[in-house]
Amino acid sequence: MVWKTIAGLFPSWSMLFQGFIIFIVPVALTRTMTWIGAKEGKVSTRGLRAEGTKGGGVPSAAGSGGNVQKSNPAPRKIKEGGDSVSVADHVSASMTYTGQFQEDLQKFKEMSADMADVNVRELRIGALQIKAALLFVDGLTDKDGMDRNILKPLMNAMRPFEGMTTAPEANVLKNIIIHQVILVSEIEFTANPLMSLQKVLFGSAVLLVEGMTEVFVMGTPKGRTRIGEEPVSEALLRGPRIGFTETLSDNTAMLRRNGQNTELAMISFTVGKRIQKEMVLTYIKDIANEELVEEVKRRIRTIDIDDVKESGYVEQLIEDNYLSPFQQIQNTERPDRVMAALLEGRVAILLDGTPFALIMPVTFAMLLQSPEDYYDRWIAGSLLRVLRFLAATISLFGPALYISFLSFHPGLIPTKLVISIINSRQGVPFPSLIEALIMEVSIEILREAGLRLPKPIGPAMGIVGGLIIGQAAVEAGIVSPILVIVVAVTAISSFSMPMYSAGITLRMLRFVAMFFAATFGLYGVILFFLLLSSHLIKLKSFGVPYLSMAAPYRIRDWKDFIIRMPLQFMKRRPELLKPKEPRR
Amino acid sequence: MKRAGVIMMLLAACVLLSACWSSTPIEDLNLIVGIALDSADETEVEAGFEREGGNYPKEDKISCTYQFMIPQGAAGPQKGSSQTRNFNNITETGDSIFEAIRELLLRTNRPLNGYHLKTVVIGEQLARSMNISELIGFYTRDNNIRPNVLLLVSRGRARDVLNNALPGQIPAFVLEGIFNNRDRNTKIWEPVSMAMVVGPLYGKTSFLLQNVNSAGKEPKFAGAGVIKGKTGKLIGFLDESELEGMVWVTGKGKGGVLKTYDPDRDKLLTYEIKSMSSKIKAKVEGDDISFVVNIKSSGRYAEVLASGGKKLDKAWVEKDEKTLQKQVEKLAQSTVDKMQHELHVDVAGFGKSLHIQFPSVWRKVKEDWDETFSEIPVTYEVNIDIEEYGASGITAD
Repeated sequence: MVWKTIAGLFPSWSMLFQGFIIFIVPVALTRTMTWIGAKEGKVSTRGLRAEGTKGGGVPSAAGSGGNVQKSNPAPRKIKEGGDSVSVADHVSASMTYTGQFQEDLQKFKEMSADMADVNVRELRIGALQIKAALLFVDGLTDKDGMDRNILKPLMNAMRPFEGMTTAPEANVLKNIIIHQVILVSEIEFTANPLMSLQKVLFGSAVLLVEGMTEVFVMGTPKGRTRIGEEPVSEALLRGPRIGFTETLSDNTAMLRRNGQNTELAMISFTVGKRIQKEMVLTYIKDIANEELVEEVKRRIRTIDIDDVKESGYVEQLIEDNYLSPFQQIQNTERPDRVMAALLEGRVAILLDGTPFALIMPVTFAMLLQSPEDYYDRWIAGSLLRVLRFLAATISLFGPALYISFLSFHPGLIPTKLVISIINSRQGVPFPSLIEALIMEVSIEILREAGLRLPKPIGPAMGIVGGLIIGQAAVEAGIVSPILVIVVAVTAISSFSMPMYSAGITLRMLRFVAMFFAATFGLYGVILFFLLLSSHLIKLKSFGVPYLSMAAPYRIRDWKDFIIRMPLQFMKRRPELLKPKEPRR
Repeated sequence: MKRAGVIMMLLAACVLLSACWSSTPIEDLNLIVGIALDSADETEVEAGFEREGGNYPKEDKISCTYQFMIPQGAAGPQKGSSQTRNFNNITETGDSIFEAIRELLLRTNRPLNGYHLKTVVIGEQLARSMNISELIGFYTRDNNIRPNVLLLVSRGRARDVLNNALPGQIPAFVLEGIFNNRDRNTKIWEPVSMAMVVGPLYGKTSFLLQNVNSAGKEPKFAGAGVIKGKTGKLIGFLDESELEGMVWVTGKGKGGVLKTYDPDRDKLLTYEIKSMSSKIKAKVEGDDISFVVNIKSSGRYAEVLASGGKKLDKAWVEKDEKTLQKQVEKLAQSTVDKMQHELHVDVAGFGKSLHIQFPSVWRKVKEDWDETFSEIPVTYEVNIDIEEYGASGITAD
């Protein structure tokens, strides 16, 4: 009797099976992930490389960079986080150039220690062989003109020095050089090293001559460079129409031009074992958190691959969780986007040979933000952002809700809609899951095909796909017209994601949601959402929780989350990045 | 590697074995939209089945008629769909409502379900003989049926009400939709849902259900049925003008028409009600209880057929207001008279106001309130305010 009562308390088999499935799916997923992780640890030496015991990407000063710095054996110190001092502090020690060539050059190099794009070209002037150095930023200055108008005349200067055996007085020399040698219209002088560095960073060439306490600042703006075209993957209505190009020096120059700031650090690495490529890590020294910078540097050192073809390789090799469907590093073609991220305290990576820069760390909210939110007035920006959150939800759950309502909960649909759905589904031979799968898969194929086609044929593809297939499928009775609407709205929603790759993630998860919906109905959709949430809560991007702002909850950062508050209110940088300088 | 295989198998099993758990595609359902309950009255079809031996042990007590929609076929332009009936009624007679609905599954391939049930109509004969709570017991218990299903009574056969609607319309929806006209007509009682009758039935309070008649091809709302709380059975009907009086007494109307004749000239005078409210005030002096019904309304002239005189004149308007007030008083008086002296029930909420205003007195009289109420004097204070003359100030002469 007692046993019967106890046995009666056990749930029935179907209930147990249901519970078993609910239990087994997340457990199996977690186990698989840890198993794959362990496997990877065994076959690769990632861990060792991370500790520095095995080689990987190296800062170019120590490695084999074929650039100018290498010819100068002067010790270049890569500033480490802890003792990083800003340029201003350096200069306060000695405010002017001394006239001692080696000492001055050393001073300048120290100031520009973590700016790999500042180049030093040493030379000897004319017949007297006076030591001099030309300082410039690669990509910002017109090298051709510089060679022709500065280097050549200086090196060939014979006549002005006729009859001299030693170097003349500084004043005389200065006059000779201005009046008789250099063929540049724009010349200034400064004795301040900080000022000269600034000039260099902003595109001038600086000439340092032995024996002179002043340096020549020559305006040699870059001539015709290939201007980056409008980014294809991130078009904006309002905002700069320039995108990164394939040349690293152009890109770093673009960033310099975008943010004229002496605190903008650019640290160069070479990556790739067989084919070495230059990569630049950039951040703003007095904003970015040092631990973050160190962590990024550490991960870059673990890169061990023959050739880094695109920044996508870097992204995949340094991200936190490569099994997650969500991207933990943002890629962008827009210099303004990179600059904005840097100013928030993030770190960016530029790779030679690709227009895509990487921004890290990333939070989920960033995937739904567009630079336009900030360029438009805040009300419009907030509206667009709310719309994007809505679109993300639709694109993730649209078909899943359709399936679960139709197959499990007809009572939740308004009566009139139920009538029209029933009417429209008469004669549809498939269950709603198969029906939705047919349509979703064909629209994905259409999208993929439209992407590959040359531009003039693209729209034709849309017409064939959208109109003809949609219409024909309905008339043939394969799918119901309501589903066509659902699929179309879902597809449009997923295209409204400002990050194309984020859209792909949601599209992939949509299929999973559809299977959950077909199995358990709305209950399954909720289970799927919980599963997704638990994954996102665990996920971190460079130590920053992926769902930051929502969880852990930071009300102060909400000013720039779902609603974009007026700029006047956004006085603080996002707290989650722990910037050095929290106030803007 | 082996373990990975096992895990993959498990995952595959999860997806494949559990697919479409308890799902029923929407197009394979018959959605019930309306139900008519009558005292046993077998249809010809049923009689035919019984002759052929399709019968089971039962007592013929209730005839349940279920109305469900017929899908109008695949998409695309529907040709002449408005000419065909897009609903179907099917009747089953028995003693258990639940058994009857399952018996129906022997006659149709698609399961019936009540997700979108809108109205339940109860026939007069059945309502007079059975307790309402017994009749709706199954429907209130069922998980799929919402508690906001509307209840109506029908003088005559309820089945006939569900049979008639204009072409292209579904009778159950028509009945539900007529309630939306309450802002234009005072002869419609408030919609009473199943959730709303459970309380009064349990507390033995009397209440009203909208009555619907059917004649020819259309249904018509005509008065209301009175359910006596003690027995839970129908005991009588209020006709249209009595229902109008009831609406005035309770102040539950949202708008409508008030018609009277100018006593001096015997000309039509109608008034459009824009708002109405009423307050029932109880007075207790010793053992004597009395009620004052305070009715207020504002509105505008609709038709004024009386000739002569300026309509914008204040004295004139006041005189018209008096006439209208008298008419309202007459309507209210006749309704309360019927409640007190013919039906011996209180469905206008007099008891409730007494309960709120004099709880101690109420405790003494509540046992036999319906009878006590029959003896209590009721007076009326009506205040009508014509605040608008419409677009024209000229009389129609």
